[in-house]
Amino acid sequence: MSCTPRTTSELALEVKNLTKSYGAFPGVWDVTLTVEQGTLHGFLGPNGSGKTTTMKCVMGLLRKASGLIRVFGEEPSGDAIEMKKRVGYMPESPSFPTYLKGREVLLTYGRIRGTSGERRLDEESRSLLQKVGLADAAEKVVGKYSRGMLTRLGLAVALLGHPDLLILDEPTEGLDPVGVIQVRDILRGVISEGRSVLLSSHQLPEVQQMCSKVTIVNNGRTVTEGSVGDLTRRLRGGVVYKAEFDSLSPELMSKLKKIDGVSEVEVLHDNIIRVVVSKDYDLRPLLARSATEYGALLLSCEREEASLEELFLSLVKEGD
Amino acid sequence: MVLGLFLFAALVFGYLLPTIDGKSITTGPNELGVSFSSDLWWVLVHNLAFNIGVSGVFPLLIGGFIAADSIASEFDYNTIVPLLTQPVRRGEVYAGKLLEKVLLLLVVSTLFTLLVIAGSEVSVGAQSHLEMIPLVIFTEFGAFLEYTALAFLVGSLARSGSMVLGILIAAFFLILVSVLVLAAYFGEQEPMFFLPVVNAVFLFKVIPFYIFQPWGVMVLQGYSIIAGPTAPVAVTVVSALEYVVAGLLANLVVAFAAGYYFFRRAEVKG
Repeated sequence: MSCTPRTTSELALEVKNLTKSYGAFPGVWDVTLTVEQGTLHGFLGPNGSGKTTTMKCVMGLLRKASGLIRVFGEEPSGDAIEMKKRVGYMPESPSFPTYLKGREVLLTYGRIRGTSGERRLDEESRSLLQKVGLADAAEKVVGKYSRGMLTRLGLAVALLGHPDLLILDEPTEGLDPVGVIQVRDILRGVISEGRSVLLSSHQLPEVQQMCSKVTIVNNGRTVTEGSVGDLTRRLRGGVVYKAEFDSLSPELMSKLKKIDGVSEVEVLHDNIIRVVVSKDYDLRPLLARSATEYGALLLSCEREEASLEELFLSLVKEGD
Repeated sequence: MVLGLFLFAALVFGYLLPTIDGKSITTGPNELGVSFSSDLWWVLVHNLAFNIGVSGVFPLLIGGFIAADSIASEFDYNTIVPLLTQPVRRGEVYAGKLLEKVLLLLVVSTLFTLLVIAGSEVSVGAQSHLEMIPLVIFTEFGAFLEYTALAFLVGSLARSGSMVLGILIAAFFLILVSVLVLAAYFGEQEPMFFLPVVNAVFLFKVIPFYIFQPWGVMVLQGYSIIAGPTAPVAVTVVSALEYVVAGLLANLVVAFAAGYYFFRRAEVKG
Protein backbone atom coordinates (compact mmCIF):
# COMPACT_ATOMS: atom_id res chain seq x y z
CA MET A 1 0.00 0.00 0.00
CA SER A 2 1.51 3.30 -0.94
CA CYS A 3 1.41 6.39 1.25
CA THR A 4 -1.06 8.72 -0.38
CA PRO A 5 -1.38 12.45 0.24
CA ARG A 6 -4.24 13.14 2.62
CA THR A 7 -7.34 14.91 1.49
CA THR A 8 -10.14 16.01 3.78
CA SER A 9 -12.72 14.29 1.63
CA GLU A 10 -11.36 10.78 2.06
CA LEU A 11 -12.53 8.51 4.81
CA ALA A 12 -10.15 7.39 7.50
CA LEU A 13 -11.68 3.93 7.51
CA GLU A 14 -14.25 2.23 5.37
CA VAL A 15 -15.53 -1.30 6.02
CA LYS A 16 -18.18 -2.72 3.69
CA ASN A 17 -20.07 -5.99 4.05
CA LEU A 18 -17.26 -7.60 6.03
CA THR A 19 -17.58 -11.30 6.79
CA LYS A 20 -15.35 -13.52 8.85
CA SER A 21 -16.09 -16.88 10.41
CA TYR A 22 -14.34 -19.08 12.95
CA GLY A 23 -15.03 -22.52 11.56
CA ALA A 24 -18.77 -23.06 11.76
CA PHE A 25 -19.25 -20.02 14.00
CA PRO A 26 -19.85 -16.79 12.07
CA GLY A 27 -17.79 -14.11 13.87
CA VAL A 28 -18.85 -11.30 11.57
CA TRP A 29 -21.62 -11.68 9.03
CA ASP A 30 -22.16 -8.28 7.45
CA VAL A 31 -20.43 -5.33 9.08
CA THR A 32 -20.32 -1.95 7.40
CA LEU A 33 -18.88 1.17 8.98
CA THR A 34 -17.26 4.41 7.92
CA VAL A 35 -15.03 6.63 10.00
CA GLU A 36 -14.69 10.15 8.69
CA GLN A 37 -11.40 11.95 9.06
CA GLY A 38 -11.08 14.10 12.16
CA THR A 39 -13.95 12.40 14.00
CA LEU A 40 -14.34 10.16 16.99
CA HIS A 41 -16.50 7.23 15.94
CA GLY A 42 -18.12 4.92 18.47
CA PHE A 43 -18.35 1.22 17.68
CA LEU A 44 -20.97 -0.40 19.87
CA GLY A 45 -22.46 -3.81 20.31
CA PRO A 46 -23.05 -6.49 22.92
CA ASN A 47 -20.31 -8.99 23.78
CA GLY A 48 -19.60 -11.32 20.87
CA SER A 49 -21.29 -9.04 18.33
CA GLY A 50 -18.19 -8.79 16.13
CA LYS A 51 -16.51 -5.53 17.18
CA THR A 52 -13.13 -7.03 18.05
CA THR A 53 -13.21 -9.33 15.03
CA THR A 54 -13.84 -6.34 12.75
CA MET A 55 -10.98 -4.38 14.31
CA LYS A 56 -8.64 -7.37 14.02
CA CYS A 57 -9.56 -7.81 10.36
CA VAL A 58 -8.70 -4.15 9.75
CA MET A 59 -5.32 -4.61 11.46
CA GLY A 60 -4.54 -7.83 9.56
CA LEU A 61 -4.59 -9.99 12.68
CA LEU A 62 -7.46 -11.97 11.16
CA ARG A 63 -8.11 -12.71 7.48
CA LYS A 64 -11.49 -11.54 6.24
CA ALA A 65 -13.61 -14.02 4.29
CA SER A 66 -15.14 -11.32 2.09
CA GLY A 67 -15.99 -7.64 2.06
CA LEU A 68 -14.02 -4.46 1.64
CA ILE A 69 -11.62 -2.73 4.01
CA ARG A 70 -10.11 0.62 3.06
CA VAL A 71 -7.84 2.69 5.27
CA PHE A 72 -7.36 6.24 4.01
CA GLY A 73 -8.73 5.12 0.67
CA GLU A 74 -6.36 2.18 0.20
CA GLU A 75 -7.00 -1.52 0.64
CA PRO A 76 -4.36 -3.00 2.96
CA SER A 77 -2.53 -5.98 1.47
CA GLY A 78 0.40 -8.17 2.47
CA ASP A 79 2.10 -6.82 5.57
CA ALA A 80 0.33 -3.46 5.05
CA ILE A 81 3.38 -1.56 6.27
CA GLU A 82 2.28 1.85 4.98
CA MET A 83 -1.19 1.44 6.48
CA LYS A 84 0.23 0.45 9.87
CA LYS A 85 2.45 3.54 9.86
CA ARG A 86 -0.72 5.62 9.90
CA VAL A 87 -2.73 3.51 12.33
CA GLY A 88 -2.31 2.95 16.07
CA TYR A 89 -4.10 -0.07 17.54
CA MET A 90 -4.95 -0.91 21.10
CA PRO A 91 -6.35 -4.40 21.77
CA GLU A 92 -8.94 -5.13 24.44
CA SER A 93 -6.40 -6.55 26.91
CA PRO A 94 -2.98 -5.22 25.97
CA SER A 95 -0.06 -7.55 26.82
CA PHE A 96 3.63 -6.76 26.78
CA PRO A 97 6.77 -8.69 27.75
CA THR A 98 6.59 -8.76 31.53
CA TYR A 99 10.32 -8.27 32.06
CA LEU A 100 10.35 -4.85 30.35
CA LYS A 101 9.81 -1.61 32.24
CA GLY A 102 7.01 0.69 31.12
CA ARG A 103 9.44 3.14 29.51
CA GLU A 104 11.33 0.30 27.82
CA VAL A 105 8.09 -0.96 26.26
CA LEU A 106 7.55 2.40 24.58
CA LEU A 107 11.19 2.64 23.49
CA THR A 108 11.05 -0.89 22.05
CA TYR A 109 7.84 -0.42 20.07
CA GLY A 110 8.94 3.08 19.08
CA ARG A 111 12.08 1.58 17.54
CA ILE A 112 10.00 -1.09 15.79
CA ARG A 113 7.75 1.68 14.44
CA GLY A 114 10.86 3.29 13.05
CA THR A 115 10.88 6.49 15.10
CA SER A 116 14.19 8.08 14.20
CA GLY A 117 16.58 9.39 16.84
CA GLU A 118 16.97 7.93 20.32
CA ARG A 119 16.59 11.36 21.94
CA ARG A 120 13.36 12.05 20.11
CA LEU A 121 12.06 8.60 20.98
CA ASP A 122 13.00 9.06 24.62
CA GLU A 123 11.17 12.40 24.72
CA GLU A 124 8.10 10.92 23.03
CA SER A 125 8.05 7.98 25.47
CA ARG A 126 8.28 10.25 28.51
CA SER A 127 5.60 12.55 27.15
CA LEU A 128 3.22 9.65 26.41
CA LEU A 129 3.76 8.09 29.84
CA GLN A 130 2.97 11.48 31.38
CA LYS A 131 -0.13 11.81 29.20
CA VAL A 132 -1.57 8.40 30.18
CA GLY A 133 -0.70 8.88 33.85
CA LEU A 134 2.12 6.37 34.05
CA ALA A 135 5.05 8.74 34.64
CA ASP A 136 5.54 7.41 38.17
CA ALA A 137 5.49 3.80 36.98
CA ALA A 138 7.87 4.33 34.05
CA GLU A 139 10.67 2.38 35.72
CA LYS A 140 8.46 -0.41 37.04
CA VAL A 141 8.44 -3.76 35.22
CA VAL A 142 5.26 -4.48 33.30
CA GLY A 143 4.82 -7.77 35.19
CA LYS A 144 3.91 -5.70 38.24
CA TYR A 145 1.38 -3.50 36.40
CA SER A 146 -2.31 -3.69 37.30
CA ARG A 147 -4.99 -4.22 34.63
CA GLY A 148 -5.68 -0.48 34.51
CA MET A 149 -1.98 0.33 34.15
CA LEU A 150 -1.67 -2.13 31.26
CA THR A 151 -4.63 -0.44 29.58
CA ARG A 152 -2.92 2.95 29.96
CA LEU A 153 0.33 1.51 28.58
CA GLY A 154 -1.58 -0.03 25.67
CA LEU A 155 -3.01 3.38 24.85
CA ALA A 156 0.45 4.95 25.02
CA VAL A 157 1.79 2.31 22.58
CA ALA A 158 -1.13 2.98 20.22
CA LEU A 159 -0.30 6.70 20.33
CA LEU A 160 3.37 6.11 19.41
CA GLY A 161 4.42 7.75 16.18
CA HIS A 162 1.46 10.15 16.11
CA PRO A 163 -0.85 7.92 14.00
CA ASP A 164 -3.58 9.48 11.86
CA LEU A 165 -6.13 6.86 12.90
CA LEU A 166 -6.48 5.24 16.30
CA ILE A 167 -8.37 1.95 16.60
CA LEU A 168 -9.11 1.38 20.27
CA ASP A 169 -10.81 -1.71 21.63
CA GLU A 170 -12.31 -0.89 25.05
CA PRO A 171 -9.72 1.74 26.03
CA THR A 172 -11.44 2.57 29.32
CA GLU A 173 -11.86 -1.03 30.47
CA GLY A 174 -10.43 -1.50 33.96
CA LEU A 175 -9.68 2.20 34.42
CA ASP A 176 -10.53 4.22 37.52
CA PRO A 177 -12.64 7.40 37.06
CA VAL A 178 -9.50 9.54 36.84
CA GLY A 179 -8.18 7.25 34.12
CA VAL A 180 -11.45 7.48 32.19
CA ILE A 181 -11.27 11.29 32.28
CA GLN A 182 -7.63 11.16 31.14
CA VAL A 183 -8.54 8.93 28.19
CA ARG A 184 -11.39 11.26 27.28
CA ASP A 185 -9.02 14.26 27.33
CA ILE A 186 -6.42 12.42 25.27
CA LEU A 187 -8.98 11.46 22.63
CA ARG A 188 -10.34 15.01 22.48
CA GLY A 189 -6.76 16.18 21.94
CA VAL A 190 -6.32 13.65 19.13
CA ILE A 191 -9.50 14.84 17.41
CA SER A 192 -8.55 18.50 17.82
CA GLU A 193 -5.40 17.71 15.81
CA GLY A 194 -7.55 16.48 12.92
CA ARG A 195 -6.83 12.82 13.55
CA SER A 196 -9.49 10.12 13.71
CA VAL A 197 -10.52 7.53 16.29
CA LEU A 198 -12.57 4.35 16.09
CA LEU A 199 -13.55 3.52 19.65
CA SER A 200 -15.22 0.36 20.87
CA SER A 201 -16.71 0.68 24.32
CA HIS A 202 -19.45 -0.49 26.64
CA GLN A 203 -19.42 2.88 28.45
CA LEU A 204 -22.42 4.28 26.60
CA PRO A 205 -22.64 7.64 28.43
CA GLU A 206 -18.95 8.19 27.57
CA VAL A 207 -19.55 7.35 23.93
CA GLN A 208 -22.61 9.62 23.77
CA GLN A 209 -20.57 12.45 25.25
CA MET A 210 -17.51 12.01 23.04
CA CYS A 211 -18.47 10.47 19.71
CA SER A 212 -19.93 12.39 16.80
CA LYS A 213 -21.06 9.20 15.08
CA VAL A 214 -21.68 5.63 16.14
CA THR A 215 -22.06 2.26 14.48
CA ILE A 216 -24.05 -0.35 16.35
CA VAL A 217 -23.51 -4.03 15.57
CA ASN A 218 -25.39 -7.05 16.79
CA ASN A 219 -24.98 -10.74 15.94
CA GLY A 220 -22.18 -9.88 13.51
CA ARG A 221 -24.21 -7.36 11.49
CA THR A 222 -24.36 -3.59 11.41
CA VAL A 223 -27.71 -2.58 12.85
CA THR A 224 -27.39 1.16 12.35
CA GLU A 225 -24.90 3.96 11.79
CA GLY A 226 -25.23 7.71 12.18
CA SER A 227 -24.86 10.63 14.56
CA VAL A 228 -26.08 10.00 18.09
CA GLY A 229 -28.62 12.85 17.77
CA ASP A 230 -30.09 11.54 14.50
CA LEU A 231 -30.31 7.99 15.76
CA THR A 232 -32.02 8.87 19.02
CA ARG A 233 -34.45 11.18 17.21
CA ARG A 234 -35.24 8.34 14.84
CA LEU A 235 -35.83 6.06 17.82
CA ARG A 236 -38.34 8.42 19.42
CA GLY A 237 -39.94 9.57 16.19
CA GLY A 238 -38.73 13.14 16.77
CA VAL A 239 -37.53 15.61 19.40
CA VAL A 240 -39.24 15.21 22.77
CA TYR A 241 -40.20 18.10 25.10
CA LYS A 242 -41.57 17.86 28.61
CA ALA A 243 -43.60 20.91 29.67
CA GLU A 244 -45.43 21.89 32.88
CA PHE A 245 -48.31 24.44 32.93
CA ASP A 246 -50.19 25.95 35.89
CA SER A 247 -53.42 24.72 34.29
CA LEU A 248 -54.19 22.62 31.25
CA SER A 249 -57.48 23.18 29.40
CA PRO A 250 -58.78 20.98 26.52
CA GLU A 251 -58.54 24.06 24.27
CA LEU A 252 -54.87 24.50 25.06
CA MET A 253 -54.27 20.80 24.37
CA SER A 254 -56.05 21.12 21.06
CA LYS A 255 -53.99 24.21 20.15
CA LEU A 256 -50.73 22.43 21.01
CA LYS A 257 -51.61 19.50 18.74
CA LYS A 258 -52.05 21.92 15.85
CA ILE A 259 -48.53 23.44 16.14
CA ASP A 260 -46.52 22.81 12.99
CA GLY A 261 -44.38 19.70 13.33
CA VAL A 262 -45.98 18.40 16.52
CA SER A 263 -46.76 14.73 16.03
CA GLU A 264 -47.85 13.73 19.50
CA VAL A 265 -49.07 15.38 22.72
CA GLU A 266 -49.51 13.21 25.79
CA VAL A 267 -50.55 14.12 29.33
CA LEU A 268 -48.10 12.50 31.71
CA HIS A 269 -49.70 13.56 35.00
CA ASP A 270 -51.42 16.64 36.50
CA ASN A 271 -50.48 19.54 34.24
CA ILE A 272 -47.36 17.95 32.78
CA ILE A 273 -47.29 16.98 29.11
CA ARG A 274 -44.91 15.28 26.69
CA VAL A 275 -44.72 16.71 23.19
CA VAL A 276 -43.01 14.98 20.26
CA VAL A 277 -41.92 17.23 17.37
CA SER A 278 -40.85 15.73 14.08
CA LYS A 279 -38.83 18.85 13.15
CA ASP A 280 -35.76 19.84 15.10
CA TYR A 281 -36.50 23.40 16.27
CA ASP A 282 -36.96 25.21 19.58
CA LEU A 283 -40.55 24.63 20.66
CA ARG A 284 -40.40 26.61 23.91
CA PRO A 285 -41.45 30.09 22.59
CA LEU A 286 -44.43 28.52 20.79
CA LEU A 287 -45.52 26.67 23.92
CA ALA A 288 -45.24 29.84 26.02
CA ARG A 289 -47.24 31.85 23.47
CA SER A 290 -49.99 29.23 23.26
CA ALA A 291 -50.27 29.05 27.05
CA THR A 292 -50.66 32.82 27.32
CA GLU A 293 -53.28 32.76 24.55
CA TYR A 294 -55.43 30.35 26.60
CA GLY A 295 -54.86 32.03 29.98
CA ALA A 296 -52.32 29.54 31.27
CA LEU A 297 -48.73 29.88 32.36
CA LEU A 298 -45.82 27.75 31.17
CA LEU A 299 -43.95 26.85 34.38
CA SER A 300 -41.12 24.78 32.87
CA CYS A 301 -40.12 23.23 29.59
CA GLU A 302 -37.15 21.08 28.81
CA ARG A 303 -35.96 19.17 25.82
CA GLU A 304 -35.55 15.49 26.67
CA GLU A 305 -32.49 13.94 25.13
CA ALA A 306 -32.85 10.24 24.44
CA SER A 307 -29.90 8.32 25.79
CA LEU A 308 -27.63 6.21 23.68
CA GLU A 309 -28.34 3.45 26.16
CA GLU A 310 -32.04 3.59 25.27
CA LEU A 311 -31.20 3.43 21.57
CA PHE A 312 -28.69 0.64 22.05
CA LEU A 313 -31.06 -1.52 24.06
CA SER A 314 -33.88 -0.98 21.64
CA LEU A 315 -31.79 -1.92 18.59
CA VAL A 316 -30.14 -4.88 20.22
CA LYS A 317 -33.48 -6.27 21.45
CA GLU A 318 -34.91 -5.74 17.97
CA GLY A 319 -31.99 -7.67 16.47
CA ASP A 320 -32.42 -10.58 18.89
CA MET B 1 14.34 -25.53 34.70
CA VAL B 2 16.56 -24.98 31.65
CA LEU B 3 19.41 -23.87 33.91
CA GLY B 4 18.93 -26.94 36.13
CA LEU B 5 19.04 -29.28 33.11
CA PHE B 6 22.05 -27.47 31.78
CA LEU B 7 24.01 -27.83 35.04
CA PHE B 8 22.92 -31.44 35.51
CA ALA B 9 24.10 -32.45 32.04
CA ALA B 10 27.36 -30.56 32.46
CA LEU B 11 27.94 -32.45 35.71
CA VAL B 12 27.18 -35.81 34.06
CA PHE B 13 29.32 -35.27 30.96
CA GLY B 14 32.06 -33.24 32.58
CA TYR B 15 32.53 -34.98 35.88
CA LEU B 16 30.60 -38.20 36.59
CA LEU B 17 31.09 -40.08 33.31
CA PRO B 18 34.77 -39.20 32.89
CA THR B 19 35.32 -40.27 36.50
CA ILE B 20 33.69 -43.67 35.83
CA ASP B 21 35.32 -44.29 32.46
CA GLY B 22 38.64 -42.51 32.91
CA LYS B 23 38.18 -40.60 29.63
CA SER B 24 36.69 -37.27 28.65
CA ILE B 25 35.66 -35.64 25.39
CA THR B 26 39.04 -34.01 24.92
CA THR B 27 41.30 -36.86 25.93
CA GLY B 28 41.22 -37.89 22.28
CA PRO B 29 39.21 -40.11 20.00
CA ASN B 30 39.56 -43.87 20.19
CA GLU B 31 41.26 -45.81 17.48
CA LEU B 32 39.36 -46.95 14.43
CA GLY B 33 38.13 -50.49 14.33
CA VAL B 34 38.05 -51.38 17.99
CA SER B 35 35.50 -54.12 18.43
CA PHE B 36 32.26 -53.65 20.27
CA SER B 37 31.26 -55.30 23.44
CA SER B 38 28.31 -57.58 22.91
CA ASP B 39 27.38 -57.51 26.52
CA LEU B 40 23.67 -56.69 26.80
CA TRP B 41 24.15 -54.53 29.89
CA TRP B 42 26.69 -52.43 27.99
CA VAL B 43 24.24 -52.09 25.14
CA LEU B 44 21.42 -51.00 27.38
CA VAL B 45 23.46 -48.51 29.34
CA HIS B 46 25.60 -47.06 26.62
CA ASN B 47 23.32 -47.18 23.64
CA LEU B 48 19.79 -46.91 24.88
CA ALA B 49 20.50 -44.79 27.93
CA PHE B 50 22.78 -42.46 26.04
CA ASN B 51 21.17 -42.49 22.65
CA ILE B 52 17.71 -41.91 23.91
CA GLY B 53 17.98 -40.87 27.51
CA VAL B 54 20.79 -38.36 27.55
CA SER B 55 21.87 -37.59 23.99
CA GLY B 56 18.27 -37.34 22.93
CA VAL B 57 16.30 -35.91 25.80
CA PHE B 58 18.79 -33.29 26.93
CA PRO B 59 18.98 -31.28 23.67
CA LEU B 60 15.25 -31.86 23.15
CA LEU B 61 14.41 -30.28 26.47
CA ILE B 62 16.97 -27.46 26.28
CA GLY B 63 16.23 -26.60 22.62
CA GLY B 64 12.50 -27.18 23.05
CA PHE B 65 12.16 -25.11 26.21
CA ILE B 66 14.21 -22.25 24.83
CA ALA B 67 12.31 -22.19 21.52
CA ALA B 68 8.88 -22.68 23.10
CA ASP B 69 9.55 -19.36 24.83
CA SER B 70 9.47 -17.63 21.47
CA ILE B 71 6.78 -17.63 18.78
CA ALA B 72 4.47 -19.99 20.67
CA SER B 73 4.62 -18.01 23.91
CA GLU B 74 4.09 -14.73 22.02
CA PHE B 75 0.74 -16.21 20.95
CA ASP B 76 0.15 -17.70 24.42
CA TYR B 77 0.50 -14.34 26.15
CA ASN B 78 -0.89 -12.22 23.29
CA THR B 79 2.34 -10.21 23.13
CA ILE B 80 2.27 -11.01 19.41
CA VAL B 81 -0.53 -8.41 18.95
CA PRO B 82 1.50 -5.24 19.57
CA LEU B 83 4.26 -6.71 17.39
CA LEU B 84 2.11 -7.60 14.40
CA THR B 85 0.24 -4.30 14.46
CA GLN B 86 3.44 -2.29 14.07
CA PRO B 87 4.69 -1.35 10.59
CA VAL B 88 7.02 -4.33 10.37
CA ARG B 89 6.98 -7.38 8.10
CA ARG B 90 6.07 -10.74 9.60
CA GLY B 91 9.26 -12.07 8.02
CA GLU B 92 11.27 -9.59 10.06
CA VAL B 93 9.51 -10.64 13.27
CA TYR B 94 10.22 -14.30 12.48
CA ALA B 95 13.84 -13.63 11.54
CA GLY B 96 14.32 -11.57 14.70
CA LYS B 97 12.99 -14.37 16.88
CA LEU B 98 15.19 -16.89 15.05
CA LEU B 99 18.33 -14.78 15.35
CA GLU B 100 17.70 -14.29 19.07
CA LYS B 101 17.48 -18.07 19.59
CA VAL B 102 20.49 -18.84 17.38
CA LEU B 103 22.67 -16.46 19.39
CA LEU B 104 21.32 -17.76 22.69
CA LEU B 105 21.97 -21.39 21.67
CA LEU B 106 25.49 -20.54 20.56
CA VAL B 107 26.16 -19.10 24.00
CA VAL B 108 24.51 -22.13 25.67
CA SER B 109 26.55 -24.60 23.55
CA THR B 110 29.81 -22.78 24.23
CA LEU B 111 29.18 -22.48 27.96
CA PHE B 112 28.13 -26.12 28.14
CA THR B 113 31.29 -27.33 26.38
CA LEU B 114 33.51 -25.18 28.57
CA LEU B 115 31.74 -26.46 31.70
CA VAL B 116 32.14 -30.07 30.57
CA ILE B 117 35.84 -29.56 29.87
CA ALA B 118 36.34 -27.81 33.21
CA GLY B 119 34.60 -30.75 34.92
CA SER B 120 36.84 -33.17 33.01
CA GLU B 121 39.94 -31.31 34.13
CA VAL B 122 38.85 -31.94 37.69
CA SER B 123 37.84 -35.58 37.19
CA VAL B 124 40.48 -37.02 34.82
CA GLY B 125 43.21 -34.41 34.72
CA ALA B 126 44.58 -32.17 31.98
CA GLN B 127 42.75 -32.24 28.65
CA SER B 128 44.92 -32.94 25.64
CA HIS B 129 42.76 -32.57 22.53
CA LEU B 130 41.39 -29.07 22.94
CA GLU B 131 41.18 -28.72 19.15
CA MET B 132 38.00 -30.79 19.48
CA ILE B 133 36.20 -27.90 21.19
CA PRO B 134 34.79 -26.25 18.01
CA LEU B 135 33.47 -29.62 16.78
CA VAL B 136 31.77 -30.32 20.08
CA ILE B 137 30.26 -26.83 20.18
CA PHE B 138 29.04 -27.28 16.60
CA THR B 139 27.43 -30.64 17.24
CA GLU B 140 25.70 -29.46 20.40
CA PHE B 141 24.56 -26.29 18.67
CA GLY B 142 23.26 -28.32 15.73
CA ALA B 143 21.27 -30.61 18.01
CA PHE B 144 19.77 -27.69 19.94
CA LEU B 145 19.02 -25.80 16.75
CA GLU B 146 17.21 -28.72 15.18
CA TYR B 147 14.78 -28.83 18.09
CA THR B 148 14.47 -25.06 17.91
CA ALA B 149 13.52 -25.33 14.24
CA LEU B 150 10.95 -28.00 15.05
CA ALA B 151 9.63 -25.84 17.91
CA PHE B 152 9.28 -22.85 15.55
CA LEU B 153 7.34 -25.01 13.12
CA VAL B 154 5.06 -26.53 15.76
CA GLY B 155 4.77 -23.16 17.56
CA SER B 156 3.60 -21.39 14.40
CA LEU B 157 1.01 -24.12 13.87
CA ALA B 158 -0.17 -24.80 17.43
CA ARG B 159 0.46 -21.29 18.85
CA SER B 160 0.83 -22.69 22.37
CA GLY B 161 4.05 -23.21 24.32
CA SER B 162 2.87 -26.25 26.26
CA MET B 163 1.62 -27.91 23.07
CA VAL B 164 5.02 -27.34 21.46
CA LEU B 165 6.79 -29.31 24.16
CA GLY B 166 4.16 -32.05 24.19
CA ILE B 167 4.30 -32.49 20.42
CA LEU B 168 8.12 -32.44 20.36
CA ILE B 169 8.36 -35.11 23.07
CA ALA B 170 5.74 -37.26 21.33
CA ALA B 171 7.51 -36.89 17.97
CA PHE B 172 10.83 -37.69 19.59
CA PHE B 173 9.71 -41.03 20.98
CA LEU B 174 7.65 -41.90 17.92
CA ILE B 175 10.54 -41.35 15.52
CA LEU B 176 13.11 -43.09 17.71
CA VAL B 177 10.94 -46.14 18.28
CA SER B 178 10.18 -46.34 14.54
CA VAL B 179 13.87 -46.14 13.68
CA LEU B 180 14.72 -48.71 16.32
CA VAL B 181 12.22 -51.16 14.86
CA LEU B 182 13.28 -50.48 11.26
CA ALA B 183 16.97 -50.83 12.11
CA ALA B 184 16.32 -54.03 13.99
CA TYR B 185 14.69 -55.62 10.96
CA PHE B 186 16.47 -54.06 8.01
CA GLY B 187 19.78 -53.07 9.53
CA GLU B 188 20.97 -49.57 9.98
CA GLN B 189 20.75 -47.52 6.80
CA GLU B 190 22.40 -44.14 6.20
CA PRO B 191 19.18 -42.36 5.13
CA MET B 192 17.92 -42.86 8.67
CA PHE B 193 20.34 -40.16 9.74
CA PHE B 194 18.34 -37.70 7.66
CA LEU B 195 15.37 -38.03 9.94
CA PRO B 196 14.68 -35.20 12.34
CA VAL B 197 15.39 -36.21 15.94
CA VAL B 198 17.70 -39.05 14.77
CA ASN B 199 20.36 -36.71 13.47
CA ALA B 200 19.94 -34.46 16.51
CA VAL B 201 20.55 -37.50 18.73
CA PHE B 202 23.60 -38.43 16.70
CA LEU B 203 24.98 -34.92 16.78
CA PHE B 204 24.72 -34.80 20.50
CA LYS B 205 26.10 -38.32 20.78
CA VAL B 206 29.50 -37.06 19.72
CA ILE B 207 30.17 -36.35 23.38
CA PRO B 208 29.45 -39.83 24.77
CA PHE B 209 31.16 -41.29 21.70
CA TYR B 210 34.35 -39.68 22.72
CA ILE B 211 33.99 -40.99 26.19
CA PHE B 212 32.77 -44.50 25.58
CA GLN B 213 32.77 -45.68 22.04
CA PRO B 214 35.48 -46.61 19.61
CA TRP B 215 36.01 -43.76 17.18
CA GLY B 216 35.53 -44.73 13.58
CA VAL B 217 32.32 -46.70 13.72
CA MET B 218 28.99 -45.12 14.45
CA VAL B 219 26.28 -47.69 14.68
CA LEU B 220 23.38 -48.33 16.89
CA GLN B 221 24.97 -51.46 18.18
CA GLY B 222 21.92 -52.37 20.16
CA TYR B 223 19.90 -52.76 16.98
CA SER B 224 22.32 -55.24 15.46
CA ILE B 225 22.30 -57.32 18.59
CA ILE B 226 18.52 -57.34 18.70
CA ALA B 227 18.29 -58.08 14.99
CA GLY B 228 20.87 -60.79 15.08
CA PRO B 229 23.84 -61.48 12.80
CA THR B 230 21.98 -60.60 9.59
CA ALA B 231 21.96 -56.88 10.39
CA PRO B 232 24.84 -54.95 8.86
CA VAL B 233 27.00 -53.22 11.42
CA ALA B 234 29.38 -51.13 9.39
CA VAL B 235 28.43 -47.54 8.94
CA THR B 236 31.55 -45.47 9.33
CA VAL B 237 31.70 -42.29 11.33
CA VAL B 238 32.58 -40.24 8.26
CA SER B 239 29.66 -41.66 6.31
CA ALA B 240 27.28 -41.25 9.22
CA LEU B 241 28.43 -37.70 9.95
CA GLU B 242 27.93 -36.72 6.32
CA TYR B 243 24.36 -37.91 6.51
CA VAL B 244 23.86 -36.39 9.93
CA VAL B 245 25.10 -32.96 8.86
CA ALA B 246 23.24 -33.10 5.54
CA GLY B 247 20.12 -34.23 7.40
CA LEU B 248 20.53 -31.45 9.91
CA LEU B 249 20.78 -28.79 7.20
CA ALA B 250 17.80 -30.23 5.32
CA ASN B 251 15.73 -30.39 8.50
CA LEU B 252 16.65 -26.84 9.48
CA VAL B 253 15.73 -25.45 6.07
CA VAL B 254 12.45 -27.39 5.86
CA ALA B 255 11.36 -26.74 9.47
CA PHE B 256 12.23 -23.03 9.49
CA ALA B 257 10.68 -22.47 6.04
CA ALA B 258 7.50 -24.35 6.94
CA GLY B 259 7.42 -22.52 10.30
CA TYR B 260 7.63 -19.21 8.47
CA TYR B 261 4.86 -20.22 6.06
CA PHE B 262 2.52 -21.02 8.95
CA PHE B 263 3.61 -17.95 10.93
CA ARG B 264 2.74 -15.70 7.97
CA ARG B 265 -0.71 -17.25 7.77
CA ALA B 266 -1.30 -17.39 11.53
CA GLU B 267 -4.34 -15.52 12.80
CA VAL B 268 -4.54 -13.96 16.26
CA LYS B 269 -7.89 -15.09 17.56
CA GLY B 270 -7.57 -14.87 21.33
